[in-house]
Amino acid sequence: MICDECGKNPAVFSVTITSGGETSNRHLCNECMKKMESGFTQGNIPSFLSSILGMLGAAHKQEEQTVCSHCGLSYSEFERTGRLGCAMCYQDFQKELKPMLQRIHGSSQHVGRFPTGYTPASEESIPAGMDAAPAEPKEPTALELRQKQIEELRQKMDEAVAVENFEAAAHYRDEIRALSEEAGEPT
Amino acid sequence: MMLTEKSVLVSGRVRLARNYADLPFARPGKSANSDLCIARAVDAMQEAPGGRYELHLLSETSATDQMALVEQHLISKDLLKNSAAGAALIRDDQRVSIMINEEDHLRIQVMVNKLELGSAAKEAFEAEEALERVQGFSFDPQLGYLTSCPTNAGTGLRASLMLHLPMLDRFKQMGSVNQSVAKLGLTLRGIYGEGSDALGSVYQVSNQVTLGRSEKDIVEAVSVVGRQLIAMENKLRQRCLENHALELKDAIMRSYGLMRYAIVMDEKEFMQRWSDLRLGAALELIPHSIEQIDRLLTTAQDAHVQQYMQRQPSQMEVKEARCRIIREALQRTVERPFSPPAANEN
Repeated sequence: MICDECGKNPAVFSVTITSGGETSNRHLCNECMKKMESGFTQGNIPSFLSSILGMLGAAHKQEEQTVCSHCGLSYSEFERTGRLGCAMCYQDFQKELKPMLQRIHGSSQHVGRFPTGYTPASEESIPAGMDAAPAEPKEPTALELRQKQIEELRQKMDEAVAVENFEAAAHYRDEIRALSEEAGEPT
Repeated sequence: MMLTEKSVLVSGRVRLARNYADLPFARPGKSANSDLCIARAVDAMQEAPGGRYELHLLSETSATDQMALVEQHLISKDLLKNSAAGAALIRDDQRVSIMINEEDHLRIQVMVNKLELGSAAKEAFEAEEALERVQGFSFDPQLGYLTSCPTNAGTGLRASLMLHLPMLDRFKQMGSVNQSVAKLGLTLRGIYGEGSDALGSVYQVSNQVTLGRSEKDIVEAVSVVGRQLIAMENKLRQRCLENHALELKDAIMRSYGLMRYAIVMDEKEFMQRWSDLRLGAALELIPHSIEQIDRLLTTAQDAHVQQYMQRQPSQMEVKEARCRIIREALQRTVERPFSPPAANEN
């Protein structure tokens, strides 16, 4: 068998890469295996490691070209260079980068230092997954939903009155009344 | 006999990667953004704590001086790839340097020659805070500090120790050490030579993981492993001195003789001899200080030797020039009752 990387030397190593539930196999020669190992340990990204980085990302084949909405960098360009274009790339390539970060660092949740003024806390005092977690939008309660509906209907009623469409306005008024009774709120 | 931390530790380093929040990541080449990064950093460090910073623009630095900065570990080789826009702010005591327009907008680096990574980190954060006052950095509460390469995201902190481990090498301990180090999210690699061939037994232990571990944890892990490796190495040195003193001293003095009198030497042999001399200086067997020998590690490498010659030399000329550099460096001796070991010491 010939090495998958250089296509020249006989392959002596078999590397299994598992990512996002998908497993791929690469056969490498002695030299390319060495290159891969040194690439992994050196922290900088030679082209070989960036190709591995590509494989570490989530299953991301040619089906669609993901491009950063902010700087225009394509994901395949990142795979080639190992370098992202801007901070927004982290958001736009989230699907691919998350499993990669998990694989590189064994974690995808920052622990430690925050910028000055970001939160009152400084190093060490932010427990993982608590304050440091991004604020997720709360699920609105049924009452909140109904109040929002009423608010919208009131606006529509006002608009209908303004254009003297009293029939529609009366319809909205009835709907508001029905919803308000459910919510136990006087009209 | 001195078996101290210093006899094994070559140097320590803490590095922070940071990017300005309002700019795209650094790209090679000069641009309005790369100029802005330099201007901001200069502005921020004008009144910075700890000393005066001097700006080095690569575009205005000669190739020889650039190489010298690399060998002093004040800038990285990667910075040279962006010679049009790369710059460095270097503090007058050369302890702190800030690379600008390397892979990230800013790389803050603090070097120490003792096992003081904690205080190095503290100094790096002081510089970081000064820089941050001018313009904030790219940060995400989940992913931490955002860096050009995802391998640095999170704390953006790399802590490393350069160690001279000839005995662990000789007694074939590096394999098992490497395995246990990897379990701690750290890596240990030879920094000269390729693959498993660690020339000169110079190793670097550093953290691989930057996301999901606090700065304090990372610095502590690297320090603990470093301290452990120093203790293991010193123990083996002690044992070797007790059981194989003559062989050990003979090996060191032979290398010393070669380094003082050889006419041509290639880099590989130099690294082997250097390792023996480093050990000899640590064990006070040769009349040279550890610092003196450590300096040779940079000045007698191929790249530096070529710079020293200032033209494209032949391989043989490089080997010859290397020996000249070594001989000159070893002419200066330190005050030490220099007596080649007597035969009856064993």
